[in-house]
Amino acid sequence: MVSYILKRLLIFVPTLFIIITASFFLMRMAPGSPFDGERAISEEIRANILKSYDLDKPMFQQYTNYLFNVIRGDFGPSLKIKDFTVSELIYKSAPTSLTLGFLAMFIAVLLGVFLGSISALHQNSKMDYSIMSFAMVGIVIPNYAIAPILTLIFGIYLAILPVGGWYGVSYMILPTIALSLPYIAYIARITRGSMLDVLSTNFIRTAYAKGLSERKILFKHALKPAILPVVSYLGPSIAGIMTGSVVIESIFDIPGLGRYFIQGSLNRDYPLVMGLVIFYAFIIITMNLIVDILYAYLDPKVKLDK
Amino acid sequence: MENEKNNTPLLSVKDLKVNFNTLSGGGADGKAAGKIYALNGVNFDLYHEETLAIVGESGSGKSQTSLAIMGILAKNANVGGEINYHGKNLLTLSSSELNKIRGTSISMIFQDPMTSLNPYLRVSTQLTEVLTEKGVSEADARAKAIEILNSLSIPKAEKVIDNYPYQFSGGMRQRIMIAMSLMSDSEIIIADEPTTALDVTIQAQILDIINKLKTSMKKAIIFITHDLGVVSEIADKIAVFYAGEIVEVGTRDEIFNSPKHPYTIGLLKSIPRLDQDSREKLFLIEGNPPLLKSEPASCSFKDRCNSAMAICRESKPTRQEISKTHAFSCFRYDNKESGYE
Repeated sequence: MVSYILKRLLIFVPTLFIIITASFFLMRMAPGSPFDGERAISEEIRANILKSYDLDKPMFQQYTNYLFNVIRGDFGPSLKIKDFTVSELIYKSAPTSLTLGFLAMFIAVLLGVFLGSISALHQNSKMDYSIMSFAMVGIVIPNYAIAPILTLIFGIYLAILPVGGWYGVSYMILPTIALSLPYIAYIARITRGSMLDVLSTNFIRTAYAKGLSERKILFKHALKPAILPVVSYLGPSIAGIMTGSVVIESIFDIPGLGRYFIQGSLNRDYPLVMGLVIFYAFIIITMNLIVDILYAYLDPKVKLDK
Repeated sequence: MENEKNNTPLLSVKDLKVNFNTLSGGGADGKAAGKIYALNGVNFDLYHEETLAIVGESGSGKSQTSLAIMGILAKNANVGGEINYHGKNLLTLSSSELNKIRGTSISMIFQDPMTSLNPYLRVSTQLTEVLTEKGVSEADARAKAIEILNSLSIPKAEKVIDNYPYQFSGGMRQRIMIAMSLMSDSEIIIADEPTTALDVTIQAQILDIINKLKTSMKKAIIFITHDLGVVSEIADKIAVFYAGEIVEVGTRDEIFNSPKHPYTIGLLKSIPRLDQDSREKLFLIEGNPPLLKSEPASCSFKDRCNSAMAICRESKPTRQEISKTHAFSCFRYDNKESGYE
């Protein structure tokens, strides 16, 4: 187990290296520069600015410099948001984004598994059909369409929830719902399918023949194998929720990483975007590692030390 | 007391009928929704310390009979008739009342040990929960489980009990299934083709164990199989199933030495024999069992029977008893002055 985790942590290094390299050169290939503004600036000033950020050096040297700095934990200064380093910006806004992301993930798994199980237990009933229709709607409508609709209904017509900002629990509700809805829907569908498979297995029949109560059969015998496909899906869904939160944060005006991501990309704020890419990559890789460990914990046949 | 014990059946199945609602295939046109009639009036009694073998081909209703007794038929099943056990009709009990009986007084050993154990739970958990569910302490249940595993010659039982099912071979898993059925001293053990999924040497070992349950543990056993060789070793009484009915029932000697129903006779003829000329073709009952889209109104074996008569297509043969233990349903002997062959 420990050696497996160490091995996986070692793979972090080449993975991050590839991500950094790819995004570094992709960023630079994009047209425009951080200092293109409405107002033209003189060549002299421009050269000075570029020099002060080392942007006048050859591309490859900039790249090696950047790599070296990242290894030391220095993501550099933001080119546009004056007086802030990228690390400071991430440190300031990451808790907000992570709160939103984990809240959405948590709700998605909890509600998804719950609704999916209910559907499976009452297969082909009205309840099953309503849950599955809801799930279909949730999957089909993208969250950038759901978010304004939710805002309109709960924020404007009913006026019971705030439409933007991030100042307390009531501010978290709409963004969390908007972000988690497709995942609730998807997880519910996965759970329903796998639960139906599990409930028709021979070992569940054995459990009934042993005289166990329905509840015990469900929670002790059926739930674990039924949520394994959900656990497999957690990896990609974490990545999806992370990137989805970029959109949701800007719709609900939430001061998280997503806002900086969008601003940074539009402004060609190279260090800021690079820092965020590395941070997101790190979170996603870590979460995938946790998911794999969780999977091995749930399925006795999966051995980590091989 | 002893007498009473032997004269009143422990389990009495009366006119058991099971049919399944199907979404398709059951209707007359093969498409419309309809019913499949799996069991059409099954009657048998099981006495104390008796081993009843239920034989028949696939789809004859052997397994459905055992599932009906355990109350674990598929959800789309309709059940009729009676299954009487200690003065209660099991078919009318709620699932919580049934839970006091199944696993406790009536236990079941399933056909396929590879899939009938939960792959995600330790063997110890799966064994002990039979008792802990009924309020026995974890430690006592574990001690009992180890004792039973030892008695079934599972090596290093106290160690391997915490393994997962995938760490055991098929034969070992079937022993674990058997151990599960022995956890709570059940009176009746239903073994649904317990040797079918195993290879021949392991089959022999498992049969040995089941024979022990019968001789030294005095269990009443319902042994479901399609293997007549196995039956001849283990059964006291044999019930031959065909198309959801018992076509013949009798003691082992009665069935093997003087079978009456043409189906039973055919089954016995189709057993390969070592002393048989190997160039000789094995006897075969031609055709397939009928798809039971309706309750049979005539003899269901008529289309495959060598001695079918006009009456076989018109009405259903009734049960004829030729001794206290031997009965069959066939018209074949009705008009013969000489009586039974």
